[in-house]
Amino acid sequence: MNEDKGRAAGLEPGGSISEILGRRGREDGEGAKAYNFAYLDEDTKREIRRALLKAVAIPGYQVPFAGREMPMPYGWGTGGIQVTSSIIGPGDVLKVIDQGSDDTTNAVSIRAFHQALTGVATTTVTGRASIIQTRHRIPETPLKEGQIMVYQVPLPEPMRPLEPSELETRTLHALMEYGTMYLRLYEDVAKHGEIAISYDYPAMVAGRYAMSPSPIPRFDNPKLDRSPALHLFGAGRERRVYAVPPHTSVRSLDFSDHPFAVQSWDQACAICGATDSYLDEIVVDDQGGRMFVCSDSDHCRQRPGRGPVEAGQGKT
Amino acid sequence: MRTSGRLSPGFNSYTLASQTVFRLALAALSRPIHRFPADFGPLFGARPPMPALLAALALTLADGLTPVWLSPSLREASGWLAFHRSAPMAGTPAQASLVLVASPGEMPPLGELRQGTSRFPDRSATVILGGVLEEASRGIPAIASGPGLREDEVFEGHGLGQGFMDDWAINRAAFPLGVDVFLAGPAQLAGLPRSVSLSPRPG
Repeated sequence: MNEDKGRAAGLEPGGSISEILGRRGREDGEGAKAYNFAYLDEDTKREIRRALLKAVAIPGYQVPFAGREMPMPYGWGTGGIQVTSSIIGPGDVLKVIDQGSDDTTNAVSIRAFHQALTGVATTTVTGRASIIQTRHRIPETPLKEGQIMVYQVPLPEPMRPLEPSELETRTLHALMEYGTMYLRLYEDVAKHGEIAISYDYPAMVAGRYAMSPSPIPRFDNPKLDRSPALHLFGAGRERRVYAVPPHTSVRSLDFSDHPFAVQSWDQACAICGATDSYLDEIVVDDQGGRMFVCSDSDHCRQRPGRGPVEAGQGKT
Repeated sequence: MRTSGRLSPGFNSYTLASQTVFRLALAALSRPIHRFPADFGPLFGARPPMPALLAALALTLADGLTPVWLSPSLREASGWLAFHRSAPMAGTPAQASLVLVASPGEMPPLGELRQGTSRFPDRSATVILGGVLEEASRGIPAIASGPGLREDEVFEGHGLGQGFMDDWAINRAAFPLGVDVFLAGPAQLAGLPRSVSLSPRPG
């Protein structure tokens, strides 16, 4: 993920997507209009759409699709972008987040990309969006019926660290043979006394397929369970899409004597005072000072009575 | 249907129409048995040679990679579909990945269609079945449950007979293998993904 961050931070010589498109616009006066609506050609969209329909019909199962080269490297969210491009229409309102934030480079660039190529309205407010493309978080604001979440997925196969062969993992899924995954959890308990997976925590979808929820913190796993929204996952490099339909059971793997639990903090958000949100730790000086703030920038902004709080309060 | 040997046009704007139709199909499959209003007639330049809902879904989903099987009364439209989407016509329902059926009377048994394989259950047929959902036609009400449904719901099954319901029980039992069905009624679309079970209504 550090690699992704480096790219997202604009270290690539090509510059950000919006810069590239902006430059192009100035050069030929047509800009994004020279491309098809939503960038992808219609044949590509149609193939992804067929894959998405099968993904919804078989919740949690990874459907292969012919991932295209996108005008950005793998790791930038090419899977999520292809899914968004295949579903988006002129009437949609798009929100893009990266680690919960609307204003990081990756989120800003992807939002600008979709906006330039579709002309859709965008928002940072979770409740107003019809499509939310996300890297590594689910918004704190509860999702609604009719909303679509699109996840950028680096590794779609939850058993990949345990089994390198795709043929083998497909067979294990077919047989519903998930013993190795429980063994992985058991080894955590034996070594650490608890299950030590903090993100990309595997879950069973509709009691049938084990799924990687993408690198969301395990704090977000319960939000997937019986969520009223539709969740679509796109892995660009691995060329897989999968889905969790609305109102579908998503059960994080655990043991009865070591039940699944989410992370918690003894601090509140230093900006808005929230105690119910996922907090990012931010180093604020070279004296060991740090503060904890909401990872979800929209949630933080929307909190009533939010007031500025001095940095360094959460010094530990 | 054919007008003096000329092919009627497809969508007015393929890009926008196919996106509209797909999003409705996605919503229908994500929210099974719910009847979504679907008036697709205005998307076409001229009346298509098959019911607008079937024609719209066919143009949205079919291409050279999807062998299509047309039920007998839709055969006249094969030239139209081949022209607009380069879709190969399947000789038998078992060879098709897209199965277009005008009415339940022409429905091949679900078990004869492509079921997918245990490693690739997605390689299965998608059925678009017309002539259903009409309030006037009788059905065998069932209780629907499964992903996409918040709670159990009554599925009226307008136009679907016992044969289909029996087929569906077998289809559901084969999960994750099986076929997915779109029910196309008069300006209404409903999804029936393989994950949904339809159990007889008690009493």
